[in-house]
Amino acid sequence: MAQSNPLNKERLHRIRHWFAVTGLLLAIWAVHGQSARAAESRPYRGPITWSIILCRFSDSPAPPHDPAYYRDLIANRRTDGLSDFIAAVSYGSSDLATTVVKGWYSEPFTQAQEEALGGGGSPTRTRKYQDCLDAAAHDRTDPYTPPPGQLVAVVTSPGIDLFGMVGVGSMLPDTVDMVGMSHEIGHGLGFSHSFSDNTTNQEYDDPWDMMSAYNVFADPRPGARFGNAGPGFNAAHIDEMGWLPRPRIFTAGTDGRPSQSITLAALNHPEAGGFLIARVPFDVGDPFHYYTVEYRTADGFDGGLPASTVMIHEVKLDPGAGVYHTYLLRDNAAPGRPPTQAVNANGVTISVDGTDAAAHQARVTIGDQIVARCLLGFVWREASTADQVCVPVATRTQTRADNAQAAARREPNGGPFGPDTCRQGFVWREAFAGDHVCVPPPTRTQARADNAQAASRNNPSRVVFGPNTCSVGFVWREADDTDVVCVSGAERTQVRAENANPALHRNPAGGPFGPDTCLGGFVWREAFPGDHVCVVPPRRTQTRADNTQAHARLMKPNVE
Amino acid sequence: MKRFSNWILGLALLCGVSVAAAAQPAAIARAPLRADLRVAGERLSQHPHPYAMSEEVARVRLQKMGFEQAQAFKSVGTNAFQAEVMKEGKPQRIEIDRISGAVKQAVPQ
Repeated sequence: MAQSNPLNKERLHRIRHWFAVTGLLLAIWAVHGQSARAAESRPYRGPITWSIILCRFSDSPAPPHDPAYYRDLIANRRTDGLSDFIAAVSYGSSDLATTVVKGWYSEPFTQAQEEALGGGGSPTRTRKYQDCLDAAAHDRTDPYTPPPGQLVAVVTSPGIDLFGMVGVGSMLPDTVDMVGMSHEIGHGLGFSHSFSDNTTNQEYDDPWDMMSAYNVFADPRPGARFGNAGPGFNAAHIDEMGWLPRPRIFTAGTDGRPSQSITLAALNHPEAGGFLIARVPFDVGDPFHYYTVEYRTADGFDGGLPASTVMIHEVKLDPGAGVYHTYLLRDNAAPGRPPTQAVNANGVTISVDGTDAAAHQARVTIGDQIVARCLLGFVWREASTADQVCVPVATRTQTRADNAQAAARREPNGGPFGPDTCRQGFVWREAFAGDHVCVPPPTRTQARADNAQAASRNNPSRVVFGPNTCSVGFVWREADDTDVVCVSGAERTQVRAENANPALHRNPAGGPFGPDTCLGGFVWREAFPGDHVCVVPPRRTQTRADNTQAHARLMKPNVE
Repeated sequence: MKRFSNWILGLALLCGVSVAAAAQPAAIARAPLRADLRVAGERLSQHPHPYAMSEEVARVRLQKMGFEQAQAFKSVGTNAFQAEVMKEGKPQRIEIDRISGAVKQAVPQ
């Protein structure tokens, strides 16, 4: 579904309300020290570039692996390592191929001196991280300082700590496996930990999601070069990064239907037909508060899952942290606490009709009463018990007062319109067919206007666009099915025109860049890696500028 | 003469101190901690990372590795569980590392 321009007054009002809330959240988020976003920002497409710095201490034995091992583990493709993992979970939108591995650098400190800086609750813990950076920067033969803003992973030999810092980087042991590194890459992308609905132990309690590592169902992969791997990220996290093609996202209720059965493709098998995620909104006051439904099969990077399963998460604001988290709904009373397979709460029903692990598909039915509700700031008019036209609260108050006055405003002896004939100065309200409550003429005019506005004021699911919702004044660019960079309406129109005839400015004879070679005076647009629509250079400049601004134009810049 | 002796003594003392000082590794001056790392460190100190796998996850992992009916879990060492399992029909007592997931035979007690 395309994100449309918020043109009408009611929607602007609602979005301004969200904007105010989001501004508050952003302030809280900044206080929590997570404002230092690095180069990576969502929606994110293209290679993720980290610096990996390998350090040893003055008394370290020989490290277990050379730098080439870590390049294969982290950066190189087709090694079954981390770069392939990111490519798989991003559906090819991203990888780590441009990541740089440097080292081994020698720190002037002994292992004991570094360990004395503490772990766990020690505030000097991050000094260990900086000591490695300093060793790399001052190395006499191969000094290295990461580019400003780039995320940096420090790997020490022997390992003395493991932690991640959102927007900064991470510290890892030389024995780090795919699980630890994937988790830290997730933090680098901005993900917080994942949670469950367990009332006593929520954080790290979604073992189906990498952001609960190491409490995750990793695939043991005995004999594999890099050891454990997986699981993938949950659907809400993938959605957050803008890695899901828009046609593969189902948002319940957007077409006004209160109930639908849909087919889900396994999140880890995009080649299967069906939606990769269902968003099920229910909170009129918060468009980012909803359930997500996904299906995962126990294979590939998800090979460590106990079984193939449908999973339902609630994405909601953690008021204490000031960010949204994902909460896996679990059957906490059952052995093994499997994912909940049915929901009946908040006006939502979700049930699993069946799964077919071999076909990598599940069938679910979703009911959502939000389709009958009003946008924030509006309520049902209730001119009659069946009247669900959405109006401002003051109008409903007026309607109730008019209903109470109904008898007093009729001609006691009837008239040309029968017993419902109004007294002088009053007319039928006509809020609905047969509405003969007598009101002053301006009230009838108001009722007609409200009826005309009804469709734009109901069903809040229509304005739920997920984590990459644009701020007021921006819309998704939609250069392809996955492009959710926020741009001006004029820019999207321009992009649509360019896409309508992508070969227009290509050289029909090909050229040094193959069949996509542009005619003289034209260049690739590069809205995303592989965007070879030929445009004039200023258009590419504009596209790059929009990409740079993508994160800042989101309504909810923080991540789950 | 006495003054000369004192001078020699003083010189010897000075040399001794210098030699002793040279034998000690010089204290290495660290640059101030980067502001973002200081903030991150304070935040981490309030949120220590409990990253090890739970008994529930360890049980599934053991099953994936062919160890059935895992029971009697007990925390041992810094980050391991000891458990009784069945493998190929035979009971065993194993230890599973809660970070790496590596499994080894438990040391008999």
